[in-house]
Amino acid sequence: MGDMLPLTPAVFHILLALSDGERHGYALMQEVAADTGGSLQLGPGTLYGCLKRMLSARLVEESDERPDPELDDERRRYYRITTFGAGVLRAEADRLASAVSAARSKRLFSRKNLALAGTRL
Amino acid sequence: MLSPSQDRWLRWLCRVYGLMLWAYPPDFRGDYRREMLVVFRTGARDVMQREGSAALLPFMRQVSWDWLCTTLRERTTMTTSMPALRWVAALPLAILAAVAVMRIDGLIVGFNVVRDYDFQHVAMWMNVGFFLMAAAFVSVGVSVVPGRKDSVARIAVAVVVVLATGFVVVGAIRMVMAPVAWGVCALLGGVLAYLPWRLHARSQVIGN
Repeated sequence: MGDMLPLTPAVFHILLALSDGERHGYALMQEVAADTGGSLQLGPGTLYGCLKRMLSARLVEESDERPDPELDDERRRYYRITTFGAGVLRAEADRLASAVSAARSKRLFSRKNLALAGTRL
Repeated sequence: MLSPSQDRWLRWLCRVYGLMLWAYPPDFRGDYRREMLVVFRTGARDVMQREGSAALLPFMRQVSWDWLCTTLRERTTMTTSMPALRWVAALPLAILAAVAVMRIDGLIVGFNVVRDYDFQHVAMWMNVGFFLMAAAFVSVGVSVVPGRKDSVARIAVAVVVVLATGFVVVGAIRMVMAPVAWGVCALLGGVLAYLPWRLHARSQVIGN
């Protein structure tokens, strides 16, 4: 698991978006943009390039259930995080938390961001 | 709800994006083309509904940049993961096609430019340019050949065979030995270069 770290921001945020349920491609793009306040906007090429690599690394898997064609576009595929993917996500979150903690100990945060980091961690 | 003109724009953009997707490697395209089109269409429609048609400009700029970066990345990934046998098979093919283009270029530039106007440096750089273009075309073509459909390889071989046959015919008509010999060598080389490739493609099909 350790050899997978560090994750790229795109992969980390895709895993984060999938951590609370399965999603199709466009929903993933929207969730990543929302989670990062619009600073990380995945294009279709980046998203599916990442998903391809994540599928082959078994971080995510395709959902077997197909949506009802009348309710959703049947060409959409849904993805969900695997147990292994969830473990990697946790390990990456821990790694980032230690990095933030180290930065905090060196007083690198502004007062505003210190408060934000404190509430998030 | 989109207006009829916005709907026309959307369909036109989807067609353009559909064409852009041909730049991705065939395997990647086969797996994700349809989904990427759905994502693109949904994204473009959302942008148009939320912010109007003018917002399509930054949207398309972002999509185009993403397309450029990811096509290069996917192509690089595919090329570096290409089996060594395909590279070995590809190399003589690339050299043959490049030499064939150089010969044709040499005929044109040699007769029209060098002799008539004495622009030897122009001819030399044109030769270098044609050689690089031919080598790049065939090498890129070789790298994009998918495991099962080696259509680019067939085209490259067909080009070599047609050019080589042309040299054999021209040499025979003019009763000159050199073009005939070169043509025969190119024909044999083309077939030899293609065979391991073809066999490898076949073994992949069976393996799958």
